[in-house]
Amino acid sequence: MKAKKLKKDGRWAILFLAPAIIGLAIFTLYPLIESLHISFTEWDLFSPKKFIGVNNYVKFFHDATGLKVFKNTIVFTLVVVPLQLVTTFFLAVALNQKIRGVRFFRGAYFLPTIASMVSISIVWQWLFNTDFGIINYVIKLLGGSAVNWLTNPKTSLWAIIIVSCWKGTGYHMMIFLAGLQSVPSTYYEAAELDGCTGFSRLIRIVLPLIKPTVLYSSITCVINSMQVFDQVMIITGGGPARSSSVMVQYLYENAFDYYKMGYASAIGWIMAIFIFVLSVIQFKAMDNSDFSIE
Amino acid sequence: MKKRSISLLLTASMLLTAALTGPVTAYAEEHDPVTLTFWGWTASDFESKAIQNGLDEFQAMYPYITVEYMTVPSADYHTKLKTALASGSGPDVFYLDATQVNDFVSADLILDITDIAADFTATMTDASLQKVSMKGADGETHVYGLDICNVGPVIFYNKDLFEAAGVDPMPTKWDERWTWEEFVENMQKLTVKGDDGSTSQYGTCNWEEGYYLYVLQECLDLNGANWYNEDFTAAQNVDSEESKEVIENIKALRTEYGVAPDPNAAGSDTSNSPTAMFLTGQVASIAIGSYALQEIAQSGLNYGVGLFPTFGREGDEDAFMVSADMKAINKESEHPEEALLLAEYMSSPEFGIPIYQTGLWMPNQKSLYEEENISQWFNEEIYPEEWKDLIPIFLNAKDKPTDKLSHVTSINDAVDEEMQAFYYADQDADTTLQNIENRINEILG
Amino acid sequence: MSRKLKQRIVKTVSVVILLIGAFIILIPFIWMVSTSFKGIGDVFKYPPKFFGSEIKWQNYPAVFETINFWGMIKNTVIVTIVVAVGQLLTSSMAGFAFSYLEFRGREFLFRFFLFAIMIPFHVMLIPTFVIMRNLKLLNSLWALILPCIISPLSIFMMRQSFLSVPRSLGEAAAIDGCTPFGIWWRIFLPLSKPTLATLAIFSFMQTWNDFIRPLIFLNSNKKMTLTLGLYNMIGNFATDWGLMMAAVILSILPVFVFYLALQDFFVEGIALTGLKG
Repeated sequence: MKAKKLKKDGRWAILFLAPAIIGLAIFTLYPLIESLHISFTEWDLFSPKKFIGVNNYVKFFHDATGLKVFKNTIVFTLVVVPLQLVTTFFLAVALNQKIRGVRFFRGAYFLPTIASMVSISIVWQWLFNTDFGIINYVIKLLGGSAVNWLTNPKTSLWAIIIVSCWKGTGYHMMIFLAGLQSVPSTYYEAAELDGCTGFSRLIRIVLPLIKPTVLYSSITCVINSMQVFDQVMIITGGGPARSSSVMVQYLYENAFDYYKMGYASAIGWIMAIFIFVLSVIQFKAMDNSDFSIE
Repeated sequence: MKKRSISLLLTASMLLTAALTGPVTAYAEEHDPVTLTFWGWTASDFESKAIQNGLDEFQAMYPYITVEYMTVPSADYHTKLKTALASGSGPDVFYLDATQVNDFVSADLILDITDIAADFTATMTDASLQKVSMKGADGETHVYGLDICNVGPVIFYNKDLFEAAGVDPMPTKWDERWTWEEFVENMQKLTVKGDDGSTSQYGTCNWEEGYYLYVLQECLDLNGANWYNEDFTAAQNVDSEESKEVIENIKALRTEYGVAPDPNAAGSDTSNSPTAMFLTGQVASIAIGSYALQEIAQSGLNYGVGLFPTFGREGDEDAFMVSADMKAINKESEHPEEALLLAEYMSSPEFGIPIYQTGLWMPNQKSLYEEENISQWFNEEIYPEEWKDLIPIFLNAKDKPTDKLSHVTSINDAVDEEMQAFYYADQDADTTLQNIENRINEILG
Repeated sequence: MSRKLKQRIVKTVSVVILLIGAFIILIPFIWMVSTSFKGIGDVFKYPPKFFGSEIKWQNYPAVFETINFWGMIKNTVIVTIVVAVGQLLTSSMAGFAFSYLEFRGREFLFRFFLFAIMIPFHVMLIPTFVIMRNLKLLNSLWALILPCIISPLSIFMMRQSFLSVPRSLGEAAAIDGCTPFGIWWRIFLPLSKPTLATLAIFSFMQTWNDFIRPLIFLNSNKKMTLTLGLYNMIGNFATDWGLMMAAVILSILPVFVFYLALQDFFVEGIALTGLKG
């Protein structure tokens, strides 16, 4: 009976899975293998590929510009992820109460999430304008002096960080909110009976309960941060002096401006490996047995 | 409104001339219909319309040819073009920036028209300023396309602000140019501080623009700093005293004298932010390619033009550099003859004059620089009176080094990265120039 | 008594924090709207004023005159709709196979799809570009559509959703002679409407806002999508911030309306993906 069903279902499964498998084979599996192949070659898209072993990978770690964009990407990730997760967690906690205007807050915080990064970046480029931007206007009102946000190598990456945090707030807040709402109120009451209230309740009781949410948030946040691109292209173009340039941008330039397909592919793989390693570290750090994607 | 009606009138009169004198009859014989694709970068509204008008006229002359005009965003134009050509889906005829010619020729993407257009190129090379489209690949001269324009570095200034500050108009004669010190002095007079200590008006701007553009290359040449060997296959003497003097002087405009503002988009190619500041009267002058005249003229500003100051080098008469865009033909084009007709047409005065009249380009035909022909394109509503002094200078100009290099995109990005580290971070001039030399040689080698 | 007081203080502080946060979030939008009504003279004025010397509403019609805005909207809508429909169809089919059907190699295959979720898109950028070049699909909207129709993440989410549908429903239908296709179409799909809506919304947002694919695959102004069109506007019209802001607002507006209409779905959807993804 079982074997018969397996066979019968098998035919249907082929039908149901055919589009997904074909699509995955053409647009994921093949590109993945091919990009690994390209990363071991020197190739300009026009002439035949020349096999050069791991040279592209070695080159990246000897390329001053490569190391700079690598460092920028890591700094960006290390700043954005904790900053974003902590602020959005507390915002979610604040919003997870019976207060008036929840709908308004939810809507307002979510606005940046639905707008494209491109449009948001254009707006912020204008806000960051040294002479006419309102950010410097406010700074001057408060008694500070104008900051040349986008032309100072010391601040350009921070401008990108500010925009990215601002844009991501709504999304992560909403995820935390959903996590918080799934905690049964009996837990709060029990904690209160034990004299555990306020901040310590939040940290000791609530946080462990929403561990899966935290893990999900931090992993997606790391992945997105490592792949930051749109806002850099538009707000600073990676400048000045590559002070805000990041890995995906360098990949893009090497591939489509300099026609170094092999080197660009190697950059992509180095990035992918780093994302993988960081994800594993997070899984281990949280040491979470409740969370499994199955 | 006035400008528009003038240009309409001109176009109409030209259509008429073409109808009367054009070789319509010669091509009225039997031809199979041919469709050509033509690519240009996204241009200003005005430029796009001028091009479309020209193409319409061309199609009226050759009724069997249909031209499909596709505009590609300028930021990625050459990338997209190169890929399209290499994958066999490229246009028949296309615009090409002077800086890209070498790379496209060495990638074997451009039709060598030396032979098929022998008659035409012979007369053309005599009659025009042909600069970028001719390359001596094997000791002989090859023609790979036809130039279309002539653009050089100038300083535009706000006449009202100059008058208010009591500064003389900028010189337009080569022998009367300000020295760099005079220039700085005058710019200081034009720089106004507000009550709160911040600068409300700057003297000048855009000196730190990207390498492949005009300002830096022109200044280096004015001071006799030559970065390349004869055949542009290697960089040398980049870290000379002359180079150092130039870049330190440029940086000092902003950091030491405070006469230049902070550019707002250092990372991007576009120099729009300085232009905006100039157009809105925040800055009294701007160093930029002469193409900016078109936009400046439309703004209603009371503007004048001047030459770059001298660095005091003897014999710098030859230091005026221009650049040109060209039209080339796809090597794989199925209709090379018709493509050539189109390219030729787009190099003719008929096509060029309406655009020269907007100030976007200076003419490419030598004849148009002759006294009696200047009035054909010298639109007095656009060109300031003193521009006439510049005409012989444009005629006798030389090429920019970046127009002769290979791998210009990589070189430009590397130079800009180093220069920005010098301008906006604390990398010193010597290190910057040494790095530039090493990186250029790495790219070329 | 003191407990109530304490709760009230906590609530007040929370509201204050939330208000400050909302202000920071909204200020760029407010400033964007303000700038979109300014002419070039008012834009470059210091100190900046909320209202310029005149209300220049002409910036909005000017967007349609200076750039091919309708064309950009049309392209974006086509790509967005085709991708969303395609994704829903393929992922609900695959999700059904992975949750309801029993066949050999199911677990292995499913793990493979899970693995695909983790791969960053940028690694596959160059080979995908080469595929599109060889298929002569560069500068075609298909280049944006084809690689996005299959989404391993959506497949995974559909499977999770279908797992919560009682098997007995399907088995009962099977006894009545219903084919697996019928079970999928008539039972599983109608029961998973919230998940389908969520996936549609996410697909919509992702495709509408995508930037790097259009940047790489499209050439001509005629084929441009909204994000790419805006990006190119920076190069050509960067001086005219009023016009730029008007264009930005017009490009956000459709997503904004869509969001307002489906706000509760959005929130539910985020919760759904957030917890299970």
